[in-house]
Order: sequence, then structure tokens, then C-alpha cells
Amino acid sequence: MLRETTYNGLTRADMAVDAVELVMDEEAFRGFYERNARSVWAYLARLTGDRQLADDLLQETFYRFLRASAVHESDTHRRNSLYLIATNVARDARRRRAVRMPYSASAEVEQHRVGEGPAVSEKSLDLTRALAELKPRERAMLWLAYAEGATHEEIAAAVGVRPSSLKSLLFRARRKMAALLGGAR
Amino acid sequence: MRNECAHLEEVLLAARTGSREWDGHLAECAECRDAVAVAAALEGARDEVLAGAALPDAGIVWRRAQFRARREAIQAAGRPITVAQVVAFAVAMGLVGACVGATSESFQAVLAWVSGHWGTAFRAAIADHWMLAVGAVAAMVALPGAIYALVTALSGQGARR
Ligand SMILES: [Zn+2]
Repeated sequence: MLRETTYNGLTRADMAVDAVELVMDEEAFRGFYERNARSVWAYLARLTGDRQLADDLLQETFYRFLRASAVHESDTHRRNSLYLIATNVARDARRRRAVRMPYSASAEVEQHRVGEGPAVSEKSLDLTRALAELKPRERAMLWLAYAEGATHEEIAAAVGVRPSSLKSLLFRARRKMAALLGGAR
Repeated sequence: MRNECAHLEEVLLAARTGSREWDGHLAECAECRDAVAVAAALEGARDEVLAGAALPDAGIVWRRAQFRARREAIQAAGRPITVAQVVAFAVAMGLVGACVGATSESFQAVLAWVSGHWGTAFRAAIADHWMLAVGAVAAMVALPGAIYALVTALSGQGARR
């Protein structure tokens, strides 16, 4: 492997290490993480239906956010871009394990039954089953709208759709989920 | 684009506070009924998912990100020559060869001797087997590059393991 000396005895690798820059410093990151990590983790856990996977994806989401060279106008923009990354990270994870383990309500229900997760109500199990029937984007939109109380602009930014398309997409997702919940009752 | 029910936000707010003010509308409006059902199912779901979840500390996430960023930077910087660099190297060697050929007296003398003694036979061979000759020249140029690319690809794989 070539490790040529380039400048003042430094290798190119040394120079690159010095040049590693993350999008914010540690103190700013701590505040940003404290404000958003729990919501993003809950989002990832619900998108994937896997709490352990959500732990890994949370780290991946914040890493990709820190490495992105995006400039954000406000904390809201930072948050939106964090959710967009989380949406993509969950999608990538889903693709990787698509054959092995699709989003499965039964897996999550079983996890609760065997005591790995916290005790949950019948209402929550109905929700899990209904979410499992939705497409990933529908699941993401509904979660952000009703569990997180996000605005339409925030949801559009987080799932990567045009704000003008969101209302009709949300309408269809809502109708589908209401039908699923109706079937569960 | 469709327009959603103009009362949707008010109906959702009323449902959240337990008000029955919109019951009459709900009986007639399927869109609001769906929204209330979905909102009721998802409300509180975030806290329920989070119950018992132990998230890593911000400091740990930060240090892991730092470590990974540095490791990736080292890998990127240490990654051996790219195809572009191989091509640039081949071009440079070609230029050096051309300069030596054009300027060196001894090289020119050897060339004249070779073309005097063997030129006729050589030209005849080239005319008969020109495809072979082109292939040989191409191989001489491409082979070192190909070997280099193979070696660096293998060493790159080793480094990632
Ligand atoms: Zn309505």
C-alpha cells in the first residue's frame, strides 16, 4: 500500500486525520442529541419493529448527520435532516435484511410476550399489527404526524416527498391504517 | 391534490381533550373518523416504545463517531493509487521514453543498425502479423497497470478485514 510522504514528513493519511471535521463540536452535539435521540430512537424502533436494531441505527443516523456537510438554518432544519437520515438508514437496514426478516408484527408481539420488551397493552399490539401492514413510507408519515405531532412540512422533509404531495399521501395512509385498526377491533 | 376536511384539526383537538362537540360531524365525515382512530392508536405510542429503552450517552455516540470518522479518513487517504494515477504514470513513462528516443545519440545509432540489418524482415513480419503486434504493444502498456490494480485491490481488501 502506498503511504508516500507528502509534506513536512506527514503522510497523506496523517493530514486527512487532522482534516476530519464533524458538522458540530462536542458540546453542541450533546445538546442536539439530548433533544432528539429519544424521539429518533422511537421512530427507528417503530419503522423497523426491532428495538435492538434501533440501537445500532441510532448511532448510524447521528454519525451520518455529523459527517454530512449540510449547513442548517435552524434547529428545526437540523431535526428534519436528522429524520430524513433516520428514514434512509431504516430503509437501508430493511433492504439488507429483507429476505431474512421482513418487518414483522408477530416478532414484536412475541418479543413482548417473552418479556424482552416492556409490558404492552392490547391497544399497542393492535397498533403493531396495523403498522406491520403499512408500507414503510406510510408508517413513517403516520408515526411522525400522530406520535410525534410533526407538521406537514417536517413530515415531507423527513420522508423526502414534496410538501404539496403530502396531504394526499397522508390521507391515503390514514385511511388504510384506520381500516386495519377497524379490522383489529 | 385533494383538499382535506376543513374541520380536521378542530376535530382532532376535540378528540384529544375528550370533547363530544364534533360527534355529529364525525358520524358523517369518514376522513375525520379515520384521523381520530389513527391518532388515538398512535397517541402515547412513542412513550410506550420508549419505556425501558436505554439509549447510549451522548458522549459515547460522539466518541464512536469521532473514531469512525478518523478511521475512514485514514482508509481513504491510504487507499492506493487510483486508475487515473495509473494512466498518468503510463503517460509520463511514454513521454520519458519518447524524449530518450528522440535525443539520445546511442539510442539513435542502435535504432539505425537494427533497421539496417533487420528492418526489411521486421517490416515484413509486421505486415503479416500486425494484429499480433498491436496486441503485444497493448499488453506491454496494460499489463503493469493491471497487475498493479490487482495487487492494490487485494491489499485494500486485506486492510478492510
Ligand atoms: Zn371532517
